[in-house]
Amino acid sequence: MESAPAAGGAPEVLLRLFVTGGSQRSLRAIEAVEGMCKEFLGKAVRLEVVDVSEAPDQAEHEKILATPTLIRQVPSPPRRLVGDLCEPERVIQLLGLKEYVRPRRAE
Amino acid sequence: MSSSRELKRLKTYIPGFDLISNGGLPAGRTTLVSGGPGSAKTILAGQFLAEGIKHANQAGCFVTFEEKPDDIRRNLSSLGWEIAKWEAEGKWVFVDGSLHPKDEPVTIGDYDLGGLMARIDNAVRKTGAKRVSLDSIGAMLIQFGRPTVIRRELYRVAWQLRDMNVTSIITAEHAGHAEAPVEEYVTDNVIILRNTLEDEKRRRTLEILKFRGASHLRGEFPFTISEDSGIILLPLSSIELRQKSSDKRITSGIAELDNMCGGGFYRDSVVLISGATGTGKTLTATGFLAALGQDERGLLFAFEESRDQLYRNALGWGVDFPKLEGAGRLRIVCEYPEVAAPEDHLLRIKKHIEEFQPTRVAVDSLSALERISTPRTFREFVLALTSYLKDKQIAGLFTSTTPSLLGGSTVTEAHISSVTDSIILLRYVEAFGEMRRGIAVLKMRGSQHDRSIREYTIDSQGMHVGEPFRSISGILSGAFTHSTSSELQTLEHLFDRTDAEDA
Repeated sequence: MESAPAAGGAPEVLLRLFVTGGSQRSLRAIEAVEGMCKEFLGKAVRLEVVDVSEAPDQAEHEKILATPTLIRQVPSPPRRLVGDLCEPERVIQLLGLKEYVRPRRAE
Repeated sequence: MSSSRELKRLKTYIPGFDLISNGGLPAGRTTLVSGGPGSAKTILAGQFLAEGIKHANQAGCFVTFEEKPDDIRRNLSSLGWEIAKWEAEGKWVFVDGSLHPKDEPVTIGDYDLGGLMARIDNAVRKTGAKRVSLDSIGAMLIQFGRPTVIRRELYRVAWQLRDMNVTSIITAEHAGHAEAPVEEYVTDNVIILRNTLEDEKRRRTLEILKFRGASHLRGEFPFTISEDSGIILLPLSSIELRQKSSDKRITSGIAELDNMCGGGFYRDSVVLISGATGTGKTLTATGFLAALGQDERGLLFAFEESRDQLYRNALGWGVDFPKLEGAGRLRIVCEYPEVAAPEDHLLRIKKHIEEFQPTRVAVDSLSALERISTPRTFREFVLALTSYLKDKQIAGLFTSTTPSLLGGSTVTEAHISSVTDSIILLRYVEAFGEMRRGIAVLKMRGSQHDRSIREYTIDSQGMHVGEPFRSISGILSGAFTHSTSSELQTLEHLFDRTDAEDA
């Protein structure tokens, strides 16, 4: 089921990035992860940013302790990374997203 | 350091704690509770919330990093805390910071504990919690594996908790003998829990290491964990002997002894009876309890003899214990000293006293309890029991067994003689090839007393005190000397009046 192709508008990969308000660390992480998505990943990957101070119940549900935390929620099982995530290649590798990386345009 | 204003306190309602902390934890602040494995950190963290709910209707938030909420709910409910019910009532809320090993995150770069803070803030706001416990930092350090980050964050957590206007406890692992862990430097208030072996006996203590800007008592205070209420501190050394000092006298049960004491024992005094085996200590205790006045009730803690033995002995002296018990005027508690630590015995004794509300309490014997204690815990035990009895205005009689038959004193006496109001010695006296017995009132606080050593005998009616030994000295030391020239003459006139019953 996890390997089944996405139906309708559901993304094949859902990433949620939990951050705290406007802290430097959080801003760095948002920039890094958005940049990573834009630069390396295709449309199959959707990113949602959750501010824990505005959505504490969601943080509670996911048992978030540290921010920033990036969770690959789809496909399951989920995987978590913590930190400002400034190394896109490692993030892609650790979240198992290699197959979603767009082929790079030749310069 | 010009500000000498004392911080406001939050009464914890943990038994004994508010006494040694001069009123409770610094309100609105974070206190670090540091202790080794098995030092009852989680119980303290839970009890801090439970007592708040029970006594002050203050909601609490439990943040757990180590155990699952399910485990904590189950483990702590064995102490009589209805956590599930409190959760349903919105008085207790868990924030689950425990992670399944497979969920452990990989870290890339820097992070903070913003998620945790947002969740605690959320939980506190929803329940209106006044108390927060975080248990424990060590588990979080393991989860994240970056001590410096966690310590920096801990410092921020403490500040944010302060902004939330809650009083909080954070527990941390402590190796024990080593120097204080770094966590102790980042909070203003530090409590150390210890669980050590001392002379092969388990000893739990709590020490307030520092309360910044707030006074507290210093030193280690022993505590015990009661099965139905959790941690109970025994602030023994700190109890002031509040002497309301009754001048009402009660009978000891032996008329002649009353005379020697200047008219009986004081109603709120504690008397120590010291003597070798067979000198009549249990008899004295029996007489003391049999002499109950109209509205009096007696309570006997027997650590040396079984109930049957006590009944039989008492009957031999004409005292019907079962009848007194049947009438609800006497309660006898027989226990082996070895079944519990002195702290636990103290708790049991207090519990019986609360239930039965006696006016007289006898402990036979303290020496049996001394066997199971270190000198320090024993002294603390006696101090605590004595001050408790005095506070309740109960007349107490403790017996103590001297190890040698002749003369001698006991460690017991050395430890407690200053605490008890009166000391009565029962001693064997060797007089010209015969063993006799002598009784002396060594000390009688606040009253004149007979200073002679009198002979006494024991028969089926109990104890009879006769005339003073005139010509023998050295009775108390056991090194007797006879001060007359003719032995025959001495023997005849040893006593001014020879007791008829003395066969």
